Amino acid sequence: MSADNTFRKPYVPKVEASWWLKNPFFTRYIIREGTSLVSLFVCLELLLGVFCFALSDAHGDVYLAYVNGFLGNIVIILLNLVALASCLFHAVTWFALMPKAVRLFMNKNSTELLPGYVPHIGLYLALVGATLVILVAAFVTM
Amino acid sequence: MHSNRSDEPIYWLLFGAGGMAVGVVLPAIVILMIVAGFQDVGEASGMLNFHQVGAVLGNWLLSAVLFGVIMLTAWHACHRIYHTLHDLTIRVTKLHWFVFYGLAAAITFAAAALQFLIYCQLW
Repeated sequence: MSADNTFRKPYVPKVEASWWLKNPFFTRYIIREGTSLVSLFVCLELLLGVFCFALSDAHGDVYLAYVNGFLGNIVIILLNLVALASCLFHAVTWFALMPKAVRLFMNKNSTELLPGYVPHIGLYLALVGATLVILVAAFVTM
Repeated sequence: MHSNRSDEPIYWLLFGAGGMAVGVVLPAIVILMIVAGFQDVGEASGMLNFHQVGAVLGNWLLSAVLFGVIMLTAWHACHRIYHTLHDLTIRVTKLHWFVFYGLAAAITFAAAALQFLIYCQLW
C-alpha cells in the first residue's frame, strides 16, 4: 500500500457491479473467488466450537448445545453441505493453478518443466489421504 | 523508520498455505461437522462428542494442527475477499485493509488464546 498524495486524476471507467454475470467464464471466476467467503464461514464455525468448548463445564454443557443445537440445525447442515461442495471446488481450481504458480523442473541442469499431472497427482493424493486419515481417526475414536 | 519493502509476501505466503489447508484438510473437517449434525451427540457418544474433541484439544500436536487450519483458513479467506472487492467494483481503502486483515488477526489471536487456555485447563 502506498499513500497517494498526488494531484493526478486517473480516469476510472464505469463498470457495472454485475459485469461478471454476463459471461459464464467470469461467473465461474467469481464463484471460484467466492469460495473464500464460504471458507471464512467454516473457519468461524470452528472457532465458535472451540469457544463453546472453553465455556463448557466438566460435562460439556455449552459444547453439546453447540453440536446438537448449532451443527444439528437444518440450515447449518445445508450450509455445511454447500461448504463441502465449495471446498472441493476450491481444491480442484487450486490444484489446477499449482503448476502455474510453482515451477518444478525435471532436474537441476535443465529448464524443462515437470509435466503438470505430476503435482496434480500428488495434490489429489494428499487430499484423499488427509480426508481418509481424518475420517478413519474420527470414526475409530467416536 | 518507514521501510520501502512491501509486506505483501507475508500475506501471500499465508494465503498460499491457507489455500492448501482449505483444499486438503477442510473437506474432511466439514464432513465430520455434517455427520455430527445428523447425530444426537452426548458427552461420550456420537461424532465430535465432548470427550473426543477434548482429546484433540488436550493433545498439543493435534491442537496445534487445528490452530494452523483455523488460522491459515482465516488469512486465506480474508486476503482473497479483500482482493476480490476490486472485481466487485469496490475501490479499496486503508479501512478495508484494516477490516479484513484485522479480522484474520483477531481470529488468529482468539483461536490461539482459547486453545492455549483449554490445553492448560485455565478456563
